[in-house]
Amino acid sequence: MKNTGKASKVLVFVLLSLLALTTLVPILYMCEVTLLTKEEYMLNMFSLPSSFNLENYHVVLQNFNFVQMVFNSLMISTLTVVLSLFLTSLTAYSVDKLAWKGKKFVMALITVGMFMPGQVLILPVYQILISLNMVNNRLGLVTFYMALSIPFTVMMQRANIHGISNEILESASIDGAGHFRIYWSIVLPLLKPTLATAAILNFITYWNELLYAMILLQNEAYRTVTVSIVSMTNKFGSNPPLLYADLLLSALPVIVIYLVAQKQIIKGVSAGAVK
Amino acid sequence: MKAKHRQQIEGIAYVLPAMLLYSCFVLIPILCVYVYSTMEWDGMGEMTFVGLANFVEIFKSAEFRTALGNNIKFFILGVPLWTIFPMIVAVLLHEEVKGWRFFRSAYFFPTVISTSVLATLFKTFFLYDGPVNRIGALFGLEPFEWFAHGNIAIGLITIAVNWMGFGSAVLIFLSGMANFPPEIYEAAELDGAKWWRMLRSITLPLLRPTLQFVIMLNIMSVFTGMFGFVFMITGGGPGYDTTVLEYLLYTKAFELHDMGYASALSVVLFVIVVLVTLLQRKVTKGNDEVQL
Repeated sequence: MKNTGKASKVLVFVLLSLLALTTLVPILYMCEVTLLTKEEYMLNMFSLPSSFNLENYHVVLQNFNFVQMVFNSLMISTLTVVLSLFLTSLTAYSVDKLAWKGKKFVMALITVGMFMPGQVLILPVYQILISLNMVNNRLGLVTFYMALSIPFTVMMQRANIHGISNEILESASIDGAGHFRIYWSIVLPLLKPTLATAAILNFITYWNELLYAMILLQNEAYRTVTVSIVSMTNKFGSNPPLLYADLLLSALPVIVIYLVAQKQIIKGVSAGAVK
Repeated sequence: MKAKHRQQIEGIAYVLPAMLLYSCFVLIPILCVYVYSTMEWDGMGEMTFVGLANFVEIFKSAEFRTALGNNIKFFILGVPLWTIFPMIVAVLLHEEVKGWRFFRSAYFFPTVISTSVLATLFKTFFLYDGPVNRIGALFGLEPFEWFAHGNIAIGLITIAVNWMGFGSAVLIFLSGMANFPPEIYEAAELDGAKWWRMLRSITLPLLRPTLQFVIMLNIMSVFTGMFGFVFMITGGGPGYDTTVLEYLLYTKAFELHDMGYASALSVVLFVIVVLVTLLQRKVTKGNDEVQL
């Protein structure tokens, strides 16, 4: 539908630009305020910073276990992503390329999880982790996140493994390669772009996860940055420049990932949309 | 024969680790919720079987009715906004004016940042001495307590959800439109059809399945995607004015330790989600029949 006249093209461009301002300006404003001191902000919250003053970042990084919490978040999200990719790609390979009885049932069970609202699980999961002595344990949260990531990640890998031609796999099989060998040295390398997209999307999801991280890791030493924002807001609600520095630093990893890999992220989300 | 047998064993072995994990932390918990929902339990002590008493208590309680009412308010405000707004944006982006890829990235940008961060930012904008009231003062408006009025707070949360999430609905609409055969537009153009006419007679009808998909996602969000926003922006208040079912579940379970009530509430939420999914299936099926 690219037959609009020149005048209306300009109008569309203007509308879309204005809309882009509504998503970008608040975030840019947040960045700008972090450079103000509390006094400057109180005097005029729309003033430009008098100097390139990184004091607020300094305060955040020096205090509140911020570095420890970044480490917790990084460890939890990264472990979840890596372990989940391994488990789910192996599952998707088995379900799509191997012939065995019962795999339809396994896929049906996995599909159930696609429609499962996550927060419904919180009570029993909390109880199960307590009985396994894994509450207040970062690996406990990783284990649960891995389980939670299975439906989405298996579906995504399966769609792509399905596209790998059987002839390649069969010829490897004739050459004497076992199923695991085929998975490891043929399927996984071919799957690299999908693995990368799934890794990025899952990393963002679990970096940002609030409810489970809050309930399952109540010990302050294990807290994630996303959860820490709750208490930061209470403590520093009256000092927006400091609060915004904390918000920005907490979101920095996903912002960087988005700036670097936006094409892949947009492609991945779009592909997931067309069922 | 031997190879076949081997494949059966290996096939099961490869799904076993994932399925074990998935059973322990997704499938068994679903069953547990049903069992808990028939128990009186504080989460630590003894469980007592009470039958359907928790459900009776839920349907009698004023807070459940308030919370459900708030979900319905979000439904009425949110589902049209979160559906129509991104659809218009997608239709405009589909024109592929200069810089449309940049716009698409800019719209999607907030969706990668956590609800905690953006909802907190959003909240500070609307505080009594925040930027919104300051800008209002420039136009001679009195400062306003935005979150002190239930319905206004619900409206603001609805807008916040749109601000942070419309970019992903735009992507869904765009990928729906990417599958449209270009020949249809070319043929219509040859027939001298105008832009509006093509929008009405080609784009919108072809978008119908995508539209239904987005509507279903938005209905799901109303019942399962509001926790972070309510928790960060209003904490369910003032009073219970912005408390939704999910948030009630959280307070019952982790603040009041009434696990039976909370589990029964989980079951209610689960039933709502299943009903929405079934409805979506039925509507989609109806479509196919129409097309035949």
